[in-house]
Amino acid sequence: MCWSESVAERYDAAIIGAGADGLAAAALLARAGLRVMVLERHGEPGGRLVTRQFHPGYFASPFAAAPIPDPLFWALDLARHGALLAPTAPAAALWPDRIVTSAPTPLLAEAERRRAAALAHARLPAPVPRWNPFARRVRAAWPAESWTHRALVEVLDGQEEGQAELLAACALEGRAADPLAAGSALHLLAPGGAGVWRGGLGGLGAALAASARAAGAELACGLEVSEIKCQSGRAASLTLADGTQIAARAIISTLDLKRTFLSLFAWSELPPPVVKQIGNFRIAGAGAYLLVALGAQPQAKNAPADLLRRPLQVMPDLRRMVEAHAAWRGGVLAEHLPLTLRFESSVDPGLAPIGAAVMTVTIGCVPHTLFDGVWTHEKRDLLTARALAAIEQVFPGLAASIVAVELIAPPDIEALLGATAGDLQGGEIAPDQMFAFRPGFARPGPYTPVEGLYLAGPSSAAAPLATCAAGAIAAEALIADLRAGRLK
Amino acid sequence: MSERYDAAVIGGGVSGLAAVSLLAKAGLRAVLLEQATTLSGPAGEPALRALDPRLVKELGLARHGLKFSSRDLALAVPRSGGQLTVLSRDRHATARSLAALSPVDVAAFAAFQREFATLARALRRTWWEGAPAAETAARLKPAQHDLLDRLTVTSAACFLAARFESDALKAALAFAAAACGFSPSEPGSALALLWSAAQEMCGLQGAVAVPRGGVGGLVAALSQAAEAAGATLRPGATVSRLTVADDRLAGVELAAGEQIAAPLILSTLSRRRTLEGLAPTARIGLGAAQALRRPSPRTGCATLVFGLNRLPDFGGGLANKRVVIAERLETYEIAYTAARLGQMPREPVLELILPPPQAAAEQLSSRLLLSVSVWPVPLGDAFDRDALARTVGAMIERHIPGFAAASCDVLPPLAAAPSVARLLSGAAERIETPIPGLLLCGDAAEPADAISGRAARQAARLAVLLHRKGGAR
Repeated sequence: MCWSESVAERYDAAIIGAGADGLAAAALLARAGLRVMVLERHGEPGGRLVTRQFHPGYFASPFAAAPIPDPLFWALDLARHGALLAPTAPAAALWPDRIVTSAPTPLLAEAERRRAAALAHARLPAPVPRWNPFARRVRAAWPAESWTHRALVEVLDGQEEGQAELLAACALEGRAADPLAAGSALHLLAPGGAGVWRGGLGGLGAALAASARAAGAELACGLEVSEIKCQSGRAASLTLADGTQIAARAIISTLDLKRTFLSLFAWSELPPPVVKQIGNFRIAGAGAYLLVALGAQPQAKNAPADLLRRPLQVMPDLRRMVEAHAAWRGGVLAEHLPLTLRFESSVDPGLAPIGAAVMTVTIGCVPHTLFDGVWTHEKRDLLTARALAAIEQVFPGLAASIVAVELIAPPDIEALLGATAGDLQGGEIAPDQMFAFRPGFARPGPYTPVEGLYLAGPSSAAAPLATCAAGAIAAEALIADLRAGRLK
Repeated sequence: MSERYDAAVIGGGVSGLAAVSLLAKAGLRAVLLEQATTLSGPAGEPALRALDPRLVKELGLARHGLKFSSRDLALAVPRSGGQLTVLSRDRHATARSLAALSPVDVAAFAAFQREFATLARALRRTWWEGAPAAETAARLKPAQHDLLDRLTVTSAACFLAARFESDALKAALAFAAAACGFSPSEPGSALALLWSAAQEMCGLQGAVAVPRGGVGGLVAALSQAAEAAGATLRPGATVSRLTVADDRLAGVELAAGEQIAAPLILSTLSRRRTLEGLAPTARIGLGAAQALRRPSPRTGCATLVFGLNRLPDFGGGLANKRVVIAERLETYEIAYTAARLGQMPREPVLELILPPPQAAAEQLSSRLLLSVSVWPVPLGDAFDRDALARTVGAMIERHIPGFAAASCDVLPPLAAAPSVARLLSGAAERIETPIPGLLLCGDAAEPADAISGRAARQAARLAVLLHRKGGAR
């Protein structure tokens, strides 16, 4: 490749990964008039925002996405590109003999969560605040600051019968945490799924891609980035798996911290303390997903009419959550796994054949690596059987109507989405890995020790709080640096 | 006719005695009111890790009979494989011991000790003098400030796991967090490691010392000092409530009905017990009353006192050491999870203080008492004495063969309610109460649960100031 060509190939920004963050960043950068290239490993953009036909006629979006902050939703013009959020009813907890529905009044947590999401989208350079007990209180406390050292059960204390369990189960959906241990309250800030998008999550992914394309960003799918090359200490170009070089003034990575630094860099490129620090960042997957095609609508006894429109927690119990977490820590599959059911087809009937239903089961506390070795077929069958047996207790007769089942275990998530250890959170939700301690570099925000490289993936500070926010923050930082002449 | 004093101290432990002696030394007529009929230290607690050296000096405790049978106990961690790691003040011996575990840890441990010793010394402004943490932190170098910031949110387990390789070293160091009442996997428990590094015994930073006669020996020396200073000690006096007259604190009323007049009252009870149990309700104020309502702790520490008829074989150099039995960091986590759920942990973490051979031989004429602290245990109904005695006996037997206890006394468990906020609070927040003239000076007014006498010293100082101000008016 001759020199003049490589200059012609140079982009203002190259984005690794066309997930929610990558697409949002691409749209915002392209609108600012930059030449943007998005590189996606898979054949289609969307990342975890996918809806897949897992059985003829049945569509499911296994991975839930946190809500998109309103200002970002409108700034990206997603409504015009076809993203439509169908209202879902609040969550409910299901036992064989009773149903507890979530309190209609918003919990304290909801307000804090909104504040956190708004903050996640706050303009730079105001950094995401650091938990700093020493600073004189000139600025307001960050949302839920007092939760840093509190347990989930303490925050939920004083709720009515069944409510605390329900809310704890909602907060820990698809995760592993001990609700009795201090620090677990932070899970309330990092919400799981909210609402059902028309056409499934894939509908949202398609709208984001359309928004990025309309703004003028280039989307290149089916291209895997294998290396980030540095030149005189700054990120200068990307090497693709086929050897092609793509030069860019700045690079945004939407991969998680470990994947970005430990797999895309030659180790000699990074200072050893940084490598050690990244190695110590705790990432551990805990969520598995079960896609179930049902031939008929499931029935529960004495259920309210909108039951199937709600996210359903199956028999939540604090003691079982603690035991499941302890088992997960030991690499064991717990006897009673936390389960969340979603019947997406009852909100969006287009996802299943007429009269049939799709059930997505989110399973928490599933270890990525089992203590006795890899995930074999027997272990996958055991996990599926345990989950379905528990569901059978609250929906008697459901097993008879099952048409097809597909399990997505943590190693599958790692393979599908490139998430280290299959952790969709991109790092344990703990006080020392949240806000300015996430990902924990000297400079908070999307900046990394490598100049010209911005981190916008699940390991960045804003990612657990809201979808797309990390991408937007990285894009803003990049634009500000370009304008200030810091990127050559 | 009631007795009149300048100040009254409620509770006769180490803190109460220290406070009353300091008050009397400053020329106040001070009285100590203790519920029990004799003055004694907390039962079974043989070692001191945080006693304020200035208190020892000011009260001349050495003159009054305080002697140490061991000034600096080395920390020994036996492992189930029979391997023994000893962390002592001798750097080279420690390095040799650690080299057997992991060569990387030798350098990492030396660096850790240096870094912590410096930062811990800087933090003494808060932990010794009682200055607000914000002021102390503002004086730190940026790198130190950063480390401190990180410690306040990091769990000891994660912090140690990131620094060291070997399980034995990590488990040994994590014990400092447990000894402060934290679960080592709790966020902020890394700060407890720093707190214990900031302590000093017998002039040695981070040392653990054993006074002759246990904490009882310290209490005896303190009572002598108090009497020499002219304080009145009244064991067997139960305080039933505080009395108020003309909008001011007037004194206390004893359970027997007797009134003791004192415009200044220092309580060694916890804030909650003092304000809710003794103070007139209307005086506390709604905000303060609400702040008292904290969720009750789920776990605590139990102390077992084993009586031995003959000296067991402590094996390769366990004598005169502080022995921590914890295999790895996960041991703590599993035990704390069980205790939080209200189950007796199957493998708790133990700390044994083993006496030096000559002291043991002296004591053995009667019966050698060996006290073992056990972390964690569930509180309330779930606490099972017999099961605990069996578990602990079996665990010790594994490491000290022939450990045949003639008797085992299980003392009631103590609740642990540590918090990062408490560790970072200034003395004013811990000592002062909404009622003018009522000060706290006990364990609960310390930054972390420990016998240090620092809260007593600060409260006594404040009381003397208040007394002088009141006198001038």
